Amino acid sequence: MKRLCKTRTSGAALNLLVAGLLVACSDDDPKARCSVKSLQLCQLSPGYGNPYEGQLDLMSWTQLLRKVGLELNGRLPSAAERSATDVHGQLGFEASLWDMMYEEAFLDRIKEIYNDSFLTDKYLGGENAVSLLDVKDYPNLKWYEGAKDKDRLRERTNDGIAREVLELIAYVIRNDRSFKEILTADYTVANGYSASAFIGYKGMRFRVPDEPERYRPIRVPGRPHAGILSSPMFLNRFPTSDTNRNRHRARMVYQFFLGSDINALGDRPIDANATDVQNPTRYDPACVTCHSVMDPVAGAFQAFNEKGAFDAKPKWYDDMRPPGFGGEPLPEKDFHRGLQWLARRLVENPGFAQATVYALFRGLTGQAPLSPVKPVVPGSPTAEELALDRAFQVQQNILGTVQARFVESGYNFKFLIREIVLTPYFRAAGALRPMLPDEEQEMSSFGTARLLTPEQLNRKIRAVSGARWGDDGDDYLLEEYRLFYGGIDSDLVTQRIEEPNGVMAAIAQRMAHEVACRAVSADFARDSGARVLFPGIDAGTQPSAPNELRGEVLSAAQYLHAQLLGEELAADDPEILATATLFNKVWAIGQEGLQANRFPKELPEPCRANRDPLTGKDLGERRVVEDPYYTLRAWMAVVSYLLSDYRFLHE
Amino acid sequence: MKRREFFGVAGTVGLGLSLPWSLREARAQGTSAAQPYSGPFWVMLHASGGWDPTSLCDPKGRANEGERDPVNMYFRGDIRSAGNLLYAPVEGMDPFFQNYASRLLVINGIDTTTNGHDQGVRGVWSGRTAEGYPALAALIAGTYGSNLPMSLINSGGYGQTAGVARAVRLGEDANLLYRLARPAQVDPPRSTRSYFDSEAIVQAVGQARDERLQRQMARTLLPRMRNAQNRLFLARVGERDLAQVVDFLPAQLDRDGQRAQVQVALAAYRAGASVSVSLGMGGFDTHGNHDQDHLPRLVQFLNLASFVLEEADRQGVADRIVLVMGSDFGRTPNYNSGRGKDHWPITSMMLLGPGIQGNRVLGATNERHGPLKIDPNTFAPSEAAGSIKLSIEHVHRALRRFAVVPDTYVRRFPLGGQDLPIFGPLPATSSAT
Repeated sequence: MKRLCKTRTSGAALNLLVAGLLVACSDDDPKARCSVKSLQLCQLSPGYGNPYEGQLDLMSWTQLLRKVGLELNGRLPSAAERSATDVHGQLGFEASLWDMMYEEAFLDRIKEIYNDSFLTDKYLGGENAVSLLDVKDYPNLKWYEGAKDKDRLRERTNDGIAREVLELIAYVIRNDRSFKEILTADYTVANGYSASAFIGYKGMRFRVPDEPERYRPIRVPGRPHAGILSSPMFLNRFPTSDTNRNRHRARMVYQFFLGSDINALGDRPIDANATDVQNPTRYDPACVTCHSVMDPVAGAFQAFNEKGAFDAKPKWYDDMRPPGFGGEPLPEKDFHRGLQWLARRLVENPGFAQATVYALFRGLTGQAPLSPVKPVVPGSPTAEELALDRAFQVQQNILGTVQARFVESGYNFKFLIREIVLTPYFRAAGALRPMLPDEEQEMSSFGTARLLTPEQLNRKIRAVSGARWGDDGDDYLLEEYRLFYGGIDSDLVTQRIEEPNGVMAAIAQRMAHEVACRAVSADFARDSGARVLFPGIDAGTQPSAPNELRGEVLSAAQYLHAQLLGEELAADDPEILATATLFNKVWAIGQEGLQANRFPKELPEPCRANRDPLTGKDLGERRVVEDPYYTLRAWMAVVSYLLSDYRFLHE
Repeated sequence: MKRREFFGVAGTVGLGLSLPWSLREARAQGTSAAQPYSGPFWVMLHASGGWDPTSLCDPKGRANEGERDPVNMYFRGDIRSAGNLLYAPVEGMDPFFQNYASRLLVINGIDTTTNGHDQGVRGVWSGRTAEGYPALAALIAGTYGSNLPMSLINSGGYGQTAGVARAVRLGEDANLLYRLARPAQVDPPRSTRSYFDSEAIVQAVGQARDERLQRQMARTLLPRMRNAQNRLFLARVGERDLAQVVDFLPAQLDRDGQRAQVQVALAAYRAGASVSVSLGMGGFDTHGNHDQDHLPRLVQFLNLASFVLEEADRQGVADRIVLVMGSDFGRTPNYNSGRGKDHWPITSMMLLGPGIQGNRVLGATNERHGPLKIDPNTFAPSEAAGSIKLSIEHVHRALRRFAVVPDTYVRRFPLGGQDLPIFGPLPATSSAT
């Protein structure tokens, strides 16, 4: 019997616990672990070295810390994390990384990565998820009807159901459980709202437990759970039909959990005129290559219909291959729990670990692992093909080691994250010298150089600028600009655009102007000790002449490059000089305009700091409305210049 | 940096992202000013899920009430015609066929060789079912608009570019387009007030930004990072052209989102910024209640196609639209137990546009929608030696020749099959690959 949750378990939840419906959780015991406060508990990874010593430049631990903070948690490292890393190098970095991985923001990022595959966010909003379920199977499904704040409860319930798959993944990771449990879990997860819908009988008086937003493991009465496989969200997102007979689901199982594309097994054309082969999926050579693999796994899904409803007495088709996996048949007595049987076998297949590694590698680096190289002329590879083959071999060695360590850790997902961010693919900073063409081919997979997604860019703006790009409740990159900036809606648009185009460049420019407009004045409204962008300079500091690069301006430019772009540059670096020159240039234009009364002293309306951009609180006396020396607008130009920079838009 | 200089540099980097590139190399190859595109506008209209040609342009009706396992429920005698074209007697289809038959080329009996959605979509829109090939829309965009900011507009359908073109999503919100076309203005088009009081300041920021990117590109040595910088460089070229697109928008966009997308795409084309657009409409994968759900959807699809042509006419570019209509595959020549139809590898495509001879049907199927072999020169059904089954490769080889896709792309993305005179007589040098 697992221990009860340490957090206060309310009466409602306790009832369910007693009824055996709520799985007792063991997620409240903060185990002693490697952290910035407990460096002595850290066991360092052996790392991966640099396979191209002398050619490939890797990030310093401090640079890597910043990258990881923004990539995984959408924040900059804390002062303690920076200090630990500056002083202790890899030890400080890994300790900081472990701390980050116990934050909810980390899990939000992981859920984002996995939603790109599972696309179950399609069911967020309205009753999109609720409508997939049947009250015959879930008598208390619409428990919120008749409640006082029915709309809010309906929304919470729907979204809790919609997020079942992603929250199960998060639950497993959050509690350091073996990642195998995403398939083998004999439970599902629900928050206080969706639990009310999943379990209970109609009319049952149910009170939402404490911490209703928290996801806890539950068991739905009469339904055999097999992690993601038995989730009605997964089953509906990848549906079946009378004629499809779960083949689509089987294909997705191979793709997601074994990293295998059944369609690529044999690109065999089918012949519509070949009507003399009876039961072609079993006997036609053109069909058998794929169907012999796919159909037995399809049989494991037989207990779940097209809506994901469970049938305790399923019957498989006589004209299809017997259910099973990997040549092992599913015993008939286990037909009703075929998914549980399948799940146990899937996770023991080496493909499961590899698929997990590859999915996360893609999610974190933005690039798929390399494929084997097939020379155009068999036996006579070109220099380019040889170089690509060497690149493939190097990567296979590294990813193979990542996989081995992941398995050794007991399939602990956090270990996997650590290993991937330590690979040279994630750590590459640049090349140390110009390369010959085939050297470039060999090095072509290093460096993430990844265009940030709308979600990542949105988080980064907040993290580094002290402002957000949005109004009232909306973040523009998550709403009106989401799809145009390459995002997805998990429904009709399911592929991200990963390369910038003219529209995306325009969005980035608009963002830069608008965020600069708000962030600069808002920052100068703060006490200098609390500033995010300008901690060391007064709003009124101005050059004495257009071509005089004042020391304070150079220092402020250095700070902005570090804060916004992660660039630590000397005061006489050409980039710092260019930035300071831009400040001076805009200031000079502004001075001329002010003196000629062509430009107002007041900031444009949207750029005035009347409220804190993050909290919305009125700034009162600290409001910034005027810019009598044109210095604020000159800084806005500089910040806009940096926010539209390549290094800001990419990681 | 002026637009011409951008295009000059961009022209050399548009060739392929895997090639090493440097600013010096690009400049050494000289600059050439890219002109706004003025060729035909390719509109690819995709019926997502697998449409039923036997309920559309390759009609198969039942002989009588007593026919068992009919292909369709309508009667053979009710099949309609417009010129040489036959079409299914579905309410709402008449306007399209009657208005456009004289311009329409129908290709029936195309064997996609697959029942898989992903493969089918790839096959019908690229000529190959396996992954890795660009959509025809992308190939054409890459051929004629590699320097253009919106050479390919992706609003559904098959959008794989394989790196030959840049796809953009434009949407249907005119206000949003104005905000993107004028990023320094606070609230365009309602007001011209800028965040920076002076255009000189906006230009100073833009110039500084572009110069910094050039410095970064000059010192970056890792090819992956350099390619990413190249792409941003090219994307910024496109940013400037958005301003021209909004100038061509109609005063009021259609309330229907998809029609508004068509209007926006046409505006981009008229601005010289776009070569092709890929549009999609879903709802065709009718494994249940086929007649009830699929037939009205086909009518909606044809209405959208009509709207493309009508709107192009309103905007004065009707004679420059090449419209290509297709779907993943076809549907079974019978109903399943749920009165639905399942996947069937035989499909049809419909095309019209300048240079396409209309009022023609090429290819054929038998009464159960099985493909018939045809004479490769006349396209008439034939069992003689040398007769062939029409495939997606045949169609795409012909489309590539018709669109004058260059040899560099043809060799990079080779297709099997042979050349057929789908769009006119073959030159003497045509061959099978």
